[in-house]
This record gives sequence, structure tokens and C-alpha cells, in this order.
Amino acid sequence: MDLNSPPAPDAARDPGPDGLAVRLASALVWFAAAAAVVVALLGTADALSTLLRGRPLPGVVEVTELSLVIIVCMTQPWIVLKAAHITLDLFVPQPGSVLHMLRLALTLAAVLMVYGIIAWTGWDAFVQSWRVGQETDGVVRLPVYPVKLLLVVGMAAAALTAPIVLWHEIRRKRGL
Amino acid sequence: MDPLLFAILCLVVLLVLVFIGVPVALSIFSVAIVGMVAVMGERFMLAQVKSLIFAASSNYAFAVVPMFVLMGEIAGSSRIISDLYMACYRWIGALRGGVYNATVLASAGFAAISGSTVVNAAVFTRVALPEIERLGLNRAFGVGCIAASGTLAAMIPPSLTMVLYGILTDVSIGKILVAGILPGFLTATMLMLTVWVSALMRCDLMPAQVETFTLREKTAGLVEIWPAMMLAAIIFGGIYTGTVSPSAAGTIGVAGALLIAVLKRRMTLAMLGVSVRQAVIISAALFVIILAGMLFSRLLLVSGAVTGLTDMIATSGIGYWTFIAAVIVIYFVMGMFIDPVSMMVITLPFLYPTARSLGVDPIWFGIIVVKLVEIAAITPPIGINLFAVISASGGRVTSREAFVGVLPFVAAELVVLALLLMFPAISTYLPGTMM
Repeated sequence: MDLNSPPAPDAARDPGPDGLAVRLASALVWFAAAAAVVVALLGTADALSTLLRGRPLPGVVEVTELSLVIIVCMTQPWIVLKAAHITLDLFVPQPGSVLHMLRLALTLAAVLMVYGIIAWTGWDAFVQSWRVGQETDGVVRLPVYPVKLLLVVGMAAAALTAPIVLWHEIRRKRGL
Repeated sequence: MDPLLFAILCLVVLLVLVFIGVPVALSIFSVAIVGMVAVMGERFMLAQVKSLIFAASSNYAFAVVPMFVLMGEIAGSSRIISDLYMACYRWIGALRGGVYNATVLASAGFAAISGSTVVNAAVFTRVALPEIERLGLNRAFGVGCIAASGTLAAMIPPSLTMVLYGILTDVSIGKILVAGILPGFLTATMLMLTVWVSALMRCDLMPAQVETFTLREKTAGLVEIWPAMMLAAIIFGGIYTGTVSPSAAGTIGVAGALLIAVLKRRMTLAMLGVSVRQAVIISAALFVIILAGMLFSRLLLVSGAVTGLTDMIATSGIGYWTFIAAVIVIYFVMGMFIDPVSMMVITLPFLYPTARSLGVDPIWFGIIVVKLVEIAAITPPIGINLFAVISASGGRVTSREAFVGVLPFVAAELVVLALLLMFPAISTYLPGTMM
């Protein structure tokens, strides 16, 4: 992927788990995609307004900022489930080999730790934000705490996919 | 522990994890989290994660990433590349090395509406390689040409590589994007010269029978591509004149690319859905690595590693050019094994503060880094663009062919690098004239 763009999951590789978890993760990706469409539409309207009326549309920056969080966090469960992270595939170990198992163990441990910590600290931030009724700065004041809750949901769901990936690996190894 | 020793230890652990195959973002995050706990304690680490993740992912300036990715996805799936290639082929295909140079020129054109080097290389493989094979031309050279031309997307705006550099270093994204215009066109010119000179010396680079086109056919080709070129001009012009921010330029680019695709009846709602979904996944994977890089930068700052490194360089008498030479060597070696995004995220937290302490111009440094990233993308054994071409060829191209074919273009890229080093104004002139 290039910095360009991270490569899509290699079709030749194991496609990863399927079932309910994948459908839920896919639904979250569509939610993130809707947020991206909102960013594109509002951004275009804002640019046109600035060009034609000489002033930007109020609230575009605030909605865009909140939408970005949705794009980032709602997509993480899918990225973990489908192994769509940027990875250096210098060695492609045989499934079941020591290197494969080591890679899997370290990756899942990192998924649990990283996404778990982000979700944990995110929950704390959400509670604080909710208690004080935090709003965006600017002309249009939007509540921030719902998006902070979505961040927790996305990151916690990403952390929780680690056992699903592990379960899938165990089943695959047993030929189930 | 000595801060520099600590930083080296972090880097070693990070590289081991990355080489084992642990996702790059998770590797960087893990090292940053564990490192922060070791240096400043658990509470500090939790406070940093808490403050960074939401603040960074809700930064308006970062909206440029999903918008540029989406613009490239829409442009890529609406066959704009085929139009560009055919238009260029009709105009210059009959000249010496023209079949290959049509690829370079069309690639430069597509780079102006797409920021992804891999997408560029992969899609051109499907468009240009069959043409090269049909005419019985040297395929290895063609593969090298396609892979090298693909890297133009890293330099010519809207480049995601440039955006990443701007995000990681806090350099103005608008200025760094504009700075890439002249080096981008210089690179395209140098690649075309390489093809031309090679075609002078090798007869297997010219078809036995040259196809010619009438002026009407040539003009029809231009009519097909003018909307895309107009869109690129609006994006360039908007950012350069400061009329729109890079993020707004991205949204205009998305709307423009979509409008072109719809008017040409090449985009259905289902295709649009797939493009948006793919853009979101790519952007989120990029974002998570950016967030990890930011946390890693904070670790290096709080551990004293950055101060230690800059102090060491100040006292050891390492000069400006010695440092730049070291950067070139580091990127050249790392680039053989590590993909461009990871390489930048891992190295810039160390290298950028050091460069600033030595008085290196941040825009010029960015262009040099991006040029090195471009070279890394076509340098075996892990030249990411080479693999994009091999993969997109459906098994027709071997690694050996790709490695041999790209060598003349690596040499051309090194010449451009030398020019950029000798004449910093190539990089800094345009940003200096911005309003």
C-alpha cells in the first residue's frame, strides 16, 4: 500500500473469520462510509458557498471533525478482522509454522493491548465529556460526547475481535 | 538509562516486531505504550493516549486524507486512466520510445488527481502492459517504466506521501503539496529522457510498425481527458492561491471526479459505494499508523531522546551535508525492506527535529524525503511499486524482469535526487511565492 495506500487484504491469503462478527464490522464500515460522504458533501457545499457568497457555511468544520473520528474508529474492527493493517510481508510463513504462530500471538496481544487501552481511556474521556455536556467550539455548537462514545465502541469492538480471530485460527488448524 | 540508548532499544524492538510481520501501527503503538510506562509511568501513558487519540483524529486538517484517497478511488474506478493513456499514446506513441513515454506522461497526468503510487502503478499495468506486449516491445523495460512512473503520485499533488509528511512534522500541508509540483515534473521529464535515450540505443524499445493517428483522433483523445485535467488544475490552483485549504481541495476533488464519472456514465451507485467503502478502509489504516507515529514522537520527546540526539549532533560537529548524506543512506537501506509509510513514521520523529536543529529547510527536507521514498518504492527487494506491477500483471511478469527493467529508472531518480540536493530552489521556489 502506498503511502500511499494500504493494500487491500491479499485475496490469496486466508480471508479471515466470517459470520456475525464480520457482518457487524461491515455495518460499522458502512457507517464510517456515510460519515465520509457527509464530509465530502459538506466540504463541497462549503467551498461553493465561499466561492459564490463569499462566506463559508457554518458548522462544516465541526461536523467534519466529528465525522473524521467516526471514519477512524468505526473501521478498526473490520481492519483487525480482515488483517487490513499495513504489514511488512517480508516473510510469508506457512500456516501453523512457528513464525506464523509467533506473528499471530504478538499481533493479537498488541490488538488487545492497544485497542483496549484506547477504549479504556476513551471511556474515561466520554464520561467526563458527557458530565459537562461538552460541545464543539465555533459558531455551531454540537455535542461531542456521542462521538466520544462511538470512539469507545469502535475501539472496544476492535479489541474484542482478537479472540474471534484466535478462535478462527484454532478452528482452521483443526480443519473445522 | 541513557536516552539515546533507550531510543535505540525502542527502534530495535520496533523493527523486530515489524520484520516478524506484526502490523506496523500496532508495533509502533506497542513500543510507544510500553516505552512511556517505562520512562514516565502508567498514569502518564494513559493521559497521553487519552488526550492524543480524539484530538488527533478530529483534526480538521486531516480530512485531506480520506478525501484525497476517495478522489483517487473514484478516478481509478471510472477508467480515467485508460482515457489518459490513449490520449497520450495517440500524440506521442509514434515518437522514439513513445509507447513507454505515453505511460510516463499519462501517469503524471493521473498523479495530478490521485495520490497513491501503488494504485497508479497497478492500474497502469493493466492498461499499458498489454499494449507493450501487443507491439512486441521489451516487457522488462515496460514494467520498470510503469513502476517508476507510478511513483510520480508521491511527488505531484495531491500526494498522500506529502500529506503524511505535513501531518508528522507540522509543516503546512498546502506548502509541501505545492513544493512537489516542480520536482514532480522534473522527475517526469527525467523518466521520459531515460526512455528516449534508451530507445536511441536499443531497437527492442521501438515497435516494428508505428501506429499513426489523424489529427481528429488526437483531438478526440484530448476532449476525453480535459475534464480530468481541469479538475487537477482547479485543485492545484486552489491550494496554490490559498483560495481553498487542502482539505477543501480534497472535497472539491471528490465532487469533481464523481461528476466526471457520472457524466461519462462510468459510475453506478454500487460502484460509488465500493469506492467510498474502500477509501474509508484505506484512510483508517493510514490514520491508525499516523496516530501511532504521533504517540511514538511523544515518547521520543519525553524520554529526552530527541534532545539527546540533537545535542550529540551539535557537539560532535556533524555538519549539514553529513546529516543529509546519513538521511539518504538510512532511507536507501530501509527503503529496500520497509514500505514508505512505515519508513516515514518510524524515522521522522528522529530525523526531522535533528534536521531543524541543523537549519535544514523543512520544505526542502520534505521533498528530499519524498524523493527517497519514491526511490524506495522501486528499489528491490521490497520495492512496493514493483510488487504492485507484478501482482497486477496476473503472473505474466517475473520478479527478475521487474528488478532488471527498473534499473535505468532508479538511475534517473538518483539524478533527480542529485539535482534537488544541488538546487534547493526547485523545491522551495513555488511555496515561497504562495500567498
